[in-house]
Amino acid sequence: MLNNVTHRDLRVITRYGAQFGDEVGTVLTFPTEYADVQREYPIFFRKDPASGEYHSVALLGFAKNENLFLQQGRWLADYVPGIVVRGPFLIGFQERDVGGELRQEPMIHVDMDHPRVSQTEGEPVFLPKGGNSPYLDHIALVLRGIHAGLEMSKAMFAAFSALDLIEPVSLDVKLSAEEGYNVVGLHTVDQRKLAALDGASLERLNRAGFLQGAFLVIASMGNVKKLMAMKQRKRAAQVSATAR
Amino acid sequence: MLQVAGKIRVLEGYRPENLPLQELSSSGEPAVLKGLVDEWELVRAGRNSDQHAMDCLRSHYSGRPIRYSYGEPQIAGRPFYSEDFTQLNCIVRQARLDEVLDEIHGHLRDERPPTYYVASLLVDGHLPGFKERNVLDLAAHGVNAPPSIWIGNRTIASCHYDAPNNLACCAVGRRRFTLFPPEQIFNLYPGPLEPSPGGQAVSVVDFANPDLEKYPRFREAIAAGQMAEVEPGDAVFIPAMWWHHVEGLSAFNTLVNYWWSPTPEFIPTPMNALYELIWSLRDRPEREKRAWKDVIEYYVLGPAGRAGEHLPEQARGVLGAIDETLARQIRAMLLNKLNR
Repeated sequence: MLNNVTHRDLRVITRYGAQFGDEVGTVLTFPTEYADVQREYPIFFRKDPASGEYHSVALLGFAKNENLFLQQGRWLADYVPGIVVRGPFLIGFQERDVGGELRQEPMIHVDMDHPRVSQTEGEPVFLPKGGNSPYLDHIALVLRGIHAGLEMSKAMFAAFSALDLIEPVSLDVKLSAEEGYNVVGLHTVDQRKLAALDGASLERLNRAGFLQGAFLVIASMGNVKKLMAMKQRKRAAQVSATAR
Repeated sequence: MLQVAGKIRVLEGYRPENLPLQELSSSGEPAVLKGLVDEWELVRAGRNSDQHAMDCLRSHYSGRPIRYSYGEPQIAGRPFYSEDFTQLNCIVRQARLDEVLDEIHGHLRDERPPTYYVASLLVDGHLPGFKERNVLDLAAHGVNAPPSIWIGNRTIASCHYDAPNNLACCAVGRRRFTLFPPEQIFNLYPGPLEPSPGGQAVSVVDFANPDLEKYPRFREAIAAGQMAEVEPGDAVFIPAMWWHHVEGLSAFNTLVNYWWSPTPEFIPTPMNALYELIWSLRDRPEREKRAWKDVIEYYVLGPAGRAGEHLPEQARGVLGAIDETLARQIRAMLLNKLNR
C-alpha cells in the first residue's frame, strides 16, 4: 500500500515508450471514459476466453505490438486512456468499520517493479514533507475513474448481452495491394439490433447511461480511418528512411 | 480483584416519558436510573430467558451483515491489545447477526467460551422496528442520538472514555459499570492510541487482577472510582469524557446506548487536535511549553469569546463564533497547510 514513509522518495516517469510497456496495439478502456476515448481511438469489445466476460479496448495500432500514437517518448493524442496514465498504481481495498459494518475502502497500491518507478527521474509522488503531490492527487482521480469504470463496465455488458447487442467484427485493413492487416477477436455494437430496440429497452439503457456508451462506441469507428492514415504516414516515413 | 468503594448515585422513579436528560447532562455526574427501560420488549423477553431475548433480536433483524469481534477462549472476554501492544488480541469478523447469536447460544453453558462481541451496532438499518418496541425518545428532548446495540457473551469493555454523553441501557444480563472522572487519566495508564479495541485507547490495567507494582497510581483511581451493578431495565448515565469500565456479567448480555453531544456536527473531534499538539508541541523546551499552555488557555480553554471580543466583528475570523462556513474554511486552510 502506498504510504509517505516507505515511498517517500518515489518518483514516476511519465514519459511514454516501449520500455514502459506502451508499445501495445490495444489498451483496456472503460465506459466512464468513452467520451474522451472516442475522440481519439476506435473502441471495441473483447471477450475473455476464460471468464466469458466482455471488456472494452481502445485500438492503438493494427498489430499486437504497434502503438501508432507513440513517437519519441510522446503519446500523440489529447487524451491518454486512464489505464496507461495510472502508471505503477493500482487500487486495492481495505476493510474499514463504518457504523458496525465492514466496508471496502479503496486504497492506492504501488507496483515497485513497474518500469516507470524511479527514485531519480519523473514526477515526485509526495511533497518534501510527506504531503500528497499534485501528481498523486491526479492519479487518485484517475484510479477512482478506473474503479467506477470497472463497475459500470460489468453492468453495461450485462445489459448489452441481455439485449443481444454485441456482435463480432472483423477488422480488415488494406494498406496497399501487398500489405494488409486483419485484427481478430474484436466485437462491437450491433447497429441494426440497436436501431430495432423497442422503446422500453431504449429507455432502460438510457436511464442506466449505457445508451450513450453504445453510440460512443459506434461513433468511435471513424477513428479506424485515422489510424489507417497514421499507419500510412508511418510506412511512408519508414520507406523514405530506408531509401536514404 | 478490584474493590471500588464509591457507588454511582441511584435515581428512582424515572421512565422514558420523564427522562431527566437535561438535568443529567448539566449535572455532569454519573447516575443509575433504576428500571428506566423496564417496559422494553427486549428487557421483558430477556427476563423470560436468553432464548427469548435472542428471538426478540432475531425478529427485528434486517439481514444486513454485521461486524463483530471474535476472541479465543484465552482472552477471557477481554478484547485488548496483543502481548506486545502493536495489535489487538481479537479479530473483526463479518457475519449475519443470527449466526452470531447461534454461536453465543452454543456456548451459553461453556465455562471458557470464545468471546463474541457485537459492539456499537447502529440499530437503525440493522434492527428496523426495534425502536418502536423499545422506546426511548431522545429526539423529544431535542437530542439527536441514534441508538447503538451491544450484544455479546461475558465481555469486558476495558476502561476508556468517549467524547459524548452516554446513556447506557442494560437490556439483557447483569452488568457492572466502574466509572472514573476525566482527570483520572493520570492514574489509569491508557494504552496506545492506535490500534485500540473499540476505537478508543483503553487502560492497560487488568481490573480483574491489577498489577499495583507496575501501575501504582491505579490505587488513586480506585479511590476516585464509582461503581454500580445493574440489572436488565436499568440505565447508566455516563457523562462525556468520563472513563468507564463495563463488564457483562451474565452468559448473554445486551445493552442499548445513546451518545449525544450539544456540540454541532461541524465541530470535529478534538483527537485530530491532540495528534497535532503531540506532534507540534510536546517535544519543545519546557519553558516554551508553559508559554503555549497560556496561549491555549487564552484562545481555547477559557471563555469562548475572550480572544475575539476586543476586535471588530468583521476582523475576528476564527476568534469569532464558528459556523459551518467558517468550519469549511478552517478545514481547507489546515489541509493546505498540512499538505507539504
